[in-house]
Amino acid sequence: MKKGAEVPFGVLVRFRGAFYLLLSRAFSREPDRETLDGLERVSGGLMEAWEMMGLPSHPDVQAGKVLLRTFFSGLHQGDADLMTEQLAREYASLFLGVGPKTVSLCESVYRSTSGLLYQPVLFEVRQSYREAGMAKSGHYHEPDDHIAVELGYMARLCEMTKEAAEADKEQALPLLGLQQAFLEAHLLPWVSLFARHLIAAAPSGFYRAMAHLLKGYIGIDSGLIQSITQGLNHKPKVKRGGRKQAVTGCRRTFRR
Amino acid sequence: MARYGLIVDLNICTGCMTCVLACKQENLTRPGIQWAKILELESPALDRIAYVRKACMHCDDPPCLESCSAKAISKRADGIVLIDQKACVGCKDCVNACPYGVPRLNPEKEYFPGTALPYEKNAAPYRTQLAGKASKCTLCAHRVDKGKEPACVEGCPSKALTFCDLDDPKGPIRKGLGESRQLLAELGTHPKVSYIASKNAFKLTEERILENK
Amino acid sequence: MHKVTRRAFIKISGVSAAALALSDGLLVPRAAARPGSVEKEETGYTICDACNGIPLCGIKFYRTGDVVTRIEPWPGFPTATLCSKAYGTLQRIYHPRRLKYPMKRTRPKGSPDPGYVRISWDEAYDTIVGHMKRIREKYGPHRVFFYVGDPKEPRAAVQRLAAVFGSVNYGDESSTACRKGANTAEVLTYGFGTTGSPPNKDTMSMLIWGTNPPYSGPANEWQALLKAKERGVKFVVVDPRNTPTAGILADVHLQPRLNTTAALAAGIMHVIFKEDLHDKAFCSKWIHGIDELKQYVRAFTPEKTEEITGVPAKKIVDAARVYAGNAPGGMKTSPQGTTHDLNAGNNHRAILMIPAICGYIDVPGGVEDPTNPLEGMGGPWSNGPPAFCMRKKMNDMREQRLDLKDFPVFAELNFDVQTNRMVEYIHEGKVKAFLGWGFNMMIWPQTHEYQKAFEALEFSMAVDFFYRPWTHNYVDLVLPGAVNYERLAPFAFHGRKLYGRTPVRPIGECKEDWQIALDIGARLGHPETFFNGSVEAACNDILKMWNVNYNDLRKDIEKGVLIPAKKPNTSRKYEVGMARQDGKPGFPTPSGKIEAVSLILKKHGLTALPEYKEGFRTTKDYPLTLLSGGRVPYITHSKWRDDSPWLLELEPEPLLNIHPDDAARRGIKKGDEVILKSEWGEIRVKAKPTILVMPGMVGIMHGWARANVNELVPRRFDPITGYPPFKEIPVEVVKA
Repeated sequence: MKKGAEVPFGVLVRFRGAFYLLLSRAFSREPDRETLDGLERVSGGLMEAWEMMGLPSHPDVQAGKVLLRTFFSGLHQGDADLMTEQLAREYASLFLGVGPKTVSLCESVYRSTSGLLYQPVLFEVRQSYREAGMAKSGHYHEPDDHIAVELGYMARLCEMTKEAAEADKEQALPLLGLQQAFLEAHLLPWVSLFARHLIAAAPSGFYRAMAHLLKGYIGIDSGLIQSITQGLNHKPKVKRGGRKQAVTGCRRTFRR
Repeated sequence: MARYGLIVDLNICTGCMTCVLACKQENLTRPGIQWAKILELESPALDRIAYVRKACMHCDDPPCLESCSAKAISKRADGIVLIDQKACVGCKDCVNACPYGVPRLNPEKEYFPGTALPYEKNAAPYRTQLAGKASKCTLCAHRVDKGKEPACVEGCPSKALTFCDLDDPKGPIRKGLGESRQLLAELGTHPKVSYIASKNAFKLTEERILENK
Repeated sequence: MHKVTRRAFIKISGVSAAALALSDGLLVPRAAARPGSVEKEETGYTICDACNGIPLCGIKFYRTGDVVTRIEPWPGFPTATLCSKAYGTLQRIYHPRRLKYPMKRTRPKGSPDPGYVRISWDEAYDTIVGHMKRIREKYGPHRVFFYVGDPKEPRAAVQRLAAVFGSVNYGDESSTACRKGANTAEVLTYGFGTTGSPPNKDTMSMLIWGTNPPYSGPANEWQALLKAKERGVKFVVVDPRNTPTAGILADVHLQPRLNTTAALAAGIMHVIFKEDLHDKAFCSKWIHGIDELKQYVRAFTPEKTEEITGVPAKKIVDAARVYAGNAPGGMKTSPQGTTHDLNAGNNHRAILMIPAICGYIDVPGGVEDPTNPLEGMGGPWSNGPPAFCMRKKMNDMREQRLDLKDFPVFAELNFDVQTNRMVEYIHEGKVKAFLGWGFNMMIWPQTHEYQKAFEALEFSMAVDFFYRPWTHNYVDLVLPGAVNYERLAPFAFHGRKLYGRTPVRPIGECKEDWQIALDIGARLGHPETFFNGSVEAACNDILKMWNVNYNDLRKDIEKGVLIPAKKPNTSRKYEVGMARQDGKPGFPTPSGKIEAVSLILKKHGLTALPEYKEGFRTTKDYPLTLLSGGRVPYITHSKWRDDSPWLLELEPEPLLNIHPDDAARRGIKKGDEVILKSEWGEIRVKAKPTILVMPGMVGIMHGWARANVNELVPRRFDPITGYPPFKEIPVEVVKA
């Protein structure tokens, strides 16, 4: 492990990747017992790391943390199997159309005047994945602009950034650029609104917690990316349209 | 150069609302916005319920154009009157100026839970309706430019709408034009949408339009 | 820069590893796209399922990859163009609330919240097949009821499933409250089903009774009527409502009180006989019971008829003269509009006798019966091809039908089972499981009784596009159906023209109805009989009747494939032995003639002549009569509403049509909230004073979950058809 400037870089990227994975998995499907244990471990660890790194506190992250702690302690004290089933019911009721108030998990719904799925923004998202050499898995039967997929994309980019930097720090820059661009174009515009809807609609603490965490984290991630980029002693290259540069860099990195 | 207009035959309109939906699907207008509206008229003076399609008249002397302080409204050489939503400042001068009560400001609302976001990036500009801006029937200029008829005309199951070049001496319109009249013609805006209707239906329609203004 | 201590580094390394274990692999590698490469726009073809019609209208759509972006009418399709509801289907396909996964309940029936959770298709199918087998073994196969509501498209596949499983108890929306009631009356009278035919160049007059084609039918039918009007065809329109059909077409518009149909028809026939306007030769040769009919209508003088129906005597005479005096006359009746009262069967038979006595049956320009229906289809997809549906096997089991004793005439003449007494069948243990594609409990009168009954079933499942609490709260399993754009089956046909479809991949894990039926059949243990789950193979099994397959339909999909007719068109087929199965001259009835006196009704001890029978009387407490279900052009039954906000926005809540005089008398103004009540129930709705309805009559659309008008309708049924009195309820309206 190299010392000095690389340490903060690698750690922050890992931290971010873990956060995105946590959030992605929270929304991708209803959690089973095993996944709940994993979510508890990861969320707990991230909150501790947050403090350890002295990151500024954020009211949503704080709210999410408290709600999660209550939820998980309830899980341990009560009937865990029953609560897991209850969570499956809640997931279905909130997101799968059987409840009185469905909260959509797809960007299209929030970004189009029509409020429908599969709107033009989906094609842009799909294009972003493509340009980074990725596609949504055919085994996941949700659209490309489902929150879990978008968050999963960010997580994947973090992983690739970490791997790239191990080879050559410079390679990480375009990947960070992709993350910044996607954050601005496809997460920041709607996640806050979605989170507010979910907080209003979710009966139990778990999904409210995740909504708060999501809202809070997305709000500060841009700053974290800037930190990392600065830490590489480069001015952030990203601006509107910076994606094009990032694409070129990305292709260079991934030629087989 | 063509001069495009419509003839609406109220004698065979059944109020089925297909034109309203064909327009909505074509142009993805916002909630509550109906570029083509159907007025229902009931009166002892009429022998049946009259359904009247009211939409932009594409006037030759459009008061909306004259009133627009942002110069966002223009008339093409072929007579189609268009609002440039990007230039529009949402002042409602056109809304107040139109004697037919046609232009409306796009609401912030959207069809599904979710309040408005300021824009939608869309490959088809004619399907982008900006909140807070005025909008109205465009006579499907994007279709006309490709040699097609407006969506409402193509969609009408009764074929009560006829799209035409008013200046074409050989057009199918000649017979229809002779029978048809313009609503509130005395106001002098020279609307290019005219109606075939019974005298009473005509009168009642004009009264209703003035009431709702 | 943030402090990153070694502690933090270790913590985060651990967290990162744990997080990786959470990943579900939502993103996979893919060769990077060239910059600027975009998915191209292509075209596709499908049919619309927005209304209740079948055959259906054609939609041409534009797609980017698997995403439908916009639609337009299918050029050249026989139905000419689309209606408002068709455009709503674009909004429906990507509605955020569409069901995408199979769901099962986790709380017992009767709980306020069923607690649905997602399951896999495997678990869903195993559950369904498990119950089917268990119930068959324990109680017998006929205890499982198979039902198809709407879309009607999968009826053939579901019938095949029922037949192979061994249950005769298949029913549908047509056998509950729609087509089959009138069909029963038509078969009793003519020997074949018909709602008339569009006017053509030979038609001189038209009788339109109880239907409003611009609001309920495809565009080509309405256009044919308009053209006929332009040509000078005379129109007699009978409808209590002031519809556009009446307003635009009618030379004579009759507005009878509700459930006086048979009286009005008798009154018209009275004039026709009296003034010698009937076709004497046809009547004496081809109508069984003509003398009894003449005798019966003698009492229905115009004055007497006016007293019963409220239609002015002069108009009755005019109507008779216009229709009988302008030969030949065609007919257009509703598939069900005139069969929604307690004299449904004979009311509709009475209508049918009018063109019969005028000699208009199967003559050019009259009530034409197609010479060359597509052979092997057995009618539209609402029935299904008899061979594919294993109709013979089902018929052999008819003694086990649930409705055999309750509605023997209906059971004799229709292969699908009348379901109105489902409450009793369930409580008596005769139905243990219910498998329903696109079904809706609001179709039944006193809906809550059926909802309660369903809670007693051992198992039930529903296939739908959206979650419908009024139905799905009472079943065990809900399966996500594919919408029209996503379905391959069935192919469409109009007359002898076949049309294929180019579906997009269904969203989520939705499956098309045919797929679900075939999968269940295969899993039941009959993979070959169910084409190993291949929907296209199933279609090809039917298409081979005409020596084509689905690929032939794809060749020039817009144009369709014409199956040439083998015989030239022949009219008066009854004269030349082309109307009966046995090849003898005559009509396909027991007597071989059109039956004014129905031998089948007689056999069952029911009123054999199409006699008027007084219905519900209005009372001081309930002085108005309710016609529920009068068509609104942008709604179909209980379909739509939330499914398409574009359509819902046109009429966002249930509106009660009430005549301005009746409204004024009650101090009711437009938009006032009112209570509509009958002896059997009440609902709260908004008032809309309008001359669409007559004084003394109110009207409202059914299918509103928040104001289910069927709760006002009693569970009493016409003995011939088994239909409830949706269109003759005594009611009162008061300001809320």
